[in-house]
Amino acid sequence: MRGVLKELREYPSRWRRLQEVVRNPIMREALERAMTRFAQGRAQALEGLGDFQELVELCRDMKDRALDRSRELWDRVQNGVVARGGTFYLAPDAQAAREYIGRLAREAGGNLVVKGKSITSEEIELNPYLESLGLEVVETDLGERIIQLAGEKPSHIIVPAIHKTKEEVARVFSQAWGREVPDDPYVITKEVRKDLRQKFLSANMGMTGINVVSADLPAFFLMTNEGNGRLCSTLPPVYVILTGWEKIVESVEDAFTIFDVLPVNSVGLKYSSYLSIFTGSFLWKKGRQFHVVILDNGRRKALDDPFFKEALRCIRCGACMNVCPVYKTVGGHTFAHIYMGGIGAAWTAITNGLEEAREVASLCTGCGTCLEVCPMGIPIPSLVEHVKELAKEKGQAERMAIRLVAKRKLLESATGLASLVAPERIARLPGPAGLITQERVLERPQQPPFHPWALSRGLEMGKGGEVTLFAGCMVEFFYPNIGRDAVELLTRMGVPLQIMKEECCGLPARTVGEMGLWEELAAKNLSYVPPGKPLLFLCATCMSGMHGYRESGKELPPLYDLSQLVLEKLGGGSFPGSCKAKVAYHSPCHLERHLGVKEEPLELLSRIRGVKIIEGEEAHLCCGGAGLYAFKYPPVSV
Amino acid sequence: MREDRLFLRFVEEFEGAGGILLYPRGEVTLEEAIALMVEGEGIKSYAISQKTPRVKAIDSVLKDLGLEKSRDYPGLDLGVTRAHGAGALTGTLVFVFGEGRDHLLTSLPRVHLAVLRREDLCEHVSQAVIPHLQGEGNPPPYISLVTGPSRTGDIELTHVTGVHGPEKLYLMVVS
Ligand code: SF4
Ligand code: SF4
Repeated sequence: MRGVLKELREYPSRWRRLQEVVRNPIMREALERAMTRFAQGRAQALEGLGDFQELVELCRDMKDRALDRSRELWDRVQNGVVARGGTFYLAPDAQAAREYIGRLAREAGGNLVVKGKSITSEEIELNPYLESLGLEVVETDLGERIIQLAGEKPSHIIVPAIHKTKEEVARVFSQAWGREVPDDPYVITKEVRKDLRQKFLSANMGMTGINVVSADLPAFFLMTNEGNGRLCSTLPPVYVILTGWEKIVESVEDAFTIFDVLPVNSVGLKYSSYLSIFTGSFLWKKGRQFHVVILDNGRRKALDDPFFKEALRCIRCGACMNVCPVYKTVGGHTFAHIYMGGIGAAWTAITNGLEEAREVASLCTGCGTCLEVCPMGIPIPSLVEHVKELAKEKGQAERMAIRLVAKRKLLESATGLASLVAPERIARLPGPAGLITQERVLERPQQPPFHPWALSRGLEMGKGGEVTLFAGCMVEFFYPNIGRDAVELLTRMGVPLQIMKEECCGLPARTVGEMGLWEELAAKNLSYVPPGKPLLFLCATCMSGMHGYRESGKELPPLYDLSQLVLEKLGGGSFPGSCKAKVAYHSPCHLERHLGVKEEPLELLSRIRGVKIIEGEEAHLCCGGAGLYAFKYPPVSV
Repeated sequence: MREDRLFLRFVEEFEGAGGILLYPRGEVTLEEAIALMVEGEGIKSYAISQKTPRVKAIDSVLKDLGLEKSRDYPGLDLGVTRAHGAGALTGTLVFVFGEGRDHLLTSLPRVHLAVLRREDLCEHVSQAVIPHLQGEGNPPPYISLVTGPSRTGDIELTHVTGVHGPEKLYLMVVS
């Protein structure tokens, strides 16, 4: 209980922080611009790649094969590298990797290290460590260099300094170089070229990350646009590769398959400017050294966890972040530990521990938008749920709230009471909770709830109908009018209905990682479902929740959204009667992305004479409801 | 893909990625094409890899234009090398490096001129790479695939070329 109270006390300050982020116009506009450009570019470039789903299957299978054989494949890489005169070190954790690279840097002589962009090096906090040894570490990717000099963190996985205007960037360099630098991106880039060229030429050690390692040769593949990776790897006498255990594939052919997807999915480019392939025989110049450092840091353990193993397929294309509504709202400074976005929650759990991961996970709404773009078929929302499930110490307040809401009897009494004493619409809550109502209106529960009305209307529990209607808590207590209208409509269409005893569908429990409660509710609901009759839903979330019961191998009757059932009953015909109205349809995440029901609601509306459908710009954007999300993070939710 | 369609696709992708094709054809001779590039880019110094196809001809054109042949690679205006292959689907050039400093001619100068034999063009770039990797003996230490000039969008997404690598990528195709 103490944990719950502590968390509740923290909410207002957390809200204020989020509000500041959300209200930062520069960040919002910059993120919007980058994400829109990349997402549109991706959509265009994908046209040339054939069937995306086929590609996803190909990539997923190929990467799973490699991960299953990863121990053996890395042995092969090690032998190959050593045979060609390089060294190979498997670092068990961040500290070991830091210390090993620190030793290499000292042995390289001089005091300058040039680095290509590498999130793995951020994971092990390499720069501060090398600096503590008295070395100068220079990031050579332009965006990384900007934030390094500004002392900030990346806000976007592809364009790390997207949150900085050109004026701010010019100030950063003016300060670093002690002279006025104009705020012209072209001039700044040329000046940086000159400055960094000197660093490349005088550094004793260069270091980069690697996108893919193919075990057959072995060969190391590095993709960049600026060309800094090529200079880091070929100019200084010592070249160090730092990369993660997960980067392995079986063959050069597999590596090329990844590069068919990576730049297209990432920024909409068919190929980035440079793809360098190093085979390890690096001794083209006398005295030249080549060192490979492979980081474990939780990755091998993750291979044994069926959820986290899926995260190991990630190729860091960033597409999931470019479409994520939360990322677009708060950016990579907030929705991240080191790894960003929903996938970042899983990666944080793998490499940094559950406590930090839970913080990241709690920002994900579970909308599933990312599922549509991930080339590696990673079920990001399920991984986020898994993080929440494992991180028991955190999120206690929301777990308790969900446990209370899931008690049907309690909900019945509470909504019954509220329907008597609460105003019809609550436009403003007192104190810090006022943020919740700042841009949302809370509605009073309605009387009578749906089930008592249905019984009075002559519907029976578990018998007498051809279709069983599952109303769900929102329809039951807050919007029984939707239930009443559905019953009237289907009765007129000659569809005999029955109702069933209900518990919460359990989906809200999943959103906070209460998987035990979810299973309990699923078992109860399943025991109530009358056999043999189709199940009809008026709420996309409940239908998605019930659909999820299948994961446990449970038999279920066919599930229908109202739009699907009505369309089926209409056959090819149009809807009887007419209605002159302009209708905007907002597609629920659970219906569209989790259940794949996209067209039917629109098709149904188009069959009603007089209805004009207006396609809203944000018709497919997550509403931010997501169980208790609207109450947990009101500034992000709206 | 038929050979001529393959070539057209390559040209489309190569130019789409920001590369510039220097294609002596019709009235334009090899000398004139190179002279146009040298003048347009304000090139004063150059170095050329001995493995470049038509190395003698190109070298003498550059010399005749009064350019200084230099071994100071970091300060060079122009580097000339062979492209060992190309992939039409992405407009990518393939450079295969052994010992020596040739690789620096593709990464350090302000302008890079690559010379490709038309018969080295493949459909997918991997077809131009894999034979080099899977031959007898040790594979080459370093293969570089280049698609257009060095570029960034890191400041307000403004497209700027020539960040660390060449600002311009020229290609001459010879048969
Ligand atoms: S499920 Fe939605 S909120 Fe969560 S990471 Fe994916 S796109 Fe973002
Ligand atoms: S999770 Fe998928 S979409 Fe997101 S970065 Fe990784 S590979 Fe790309």
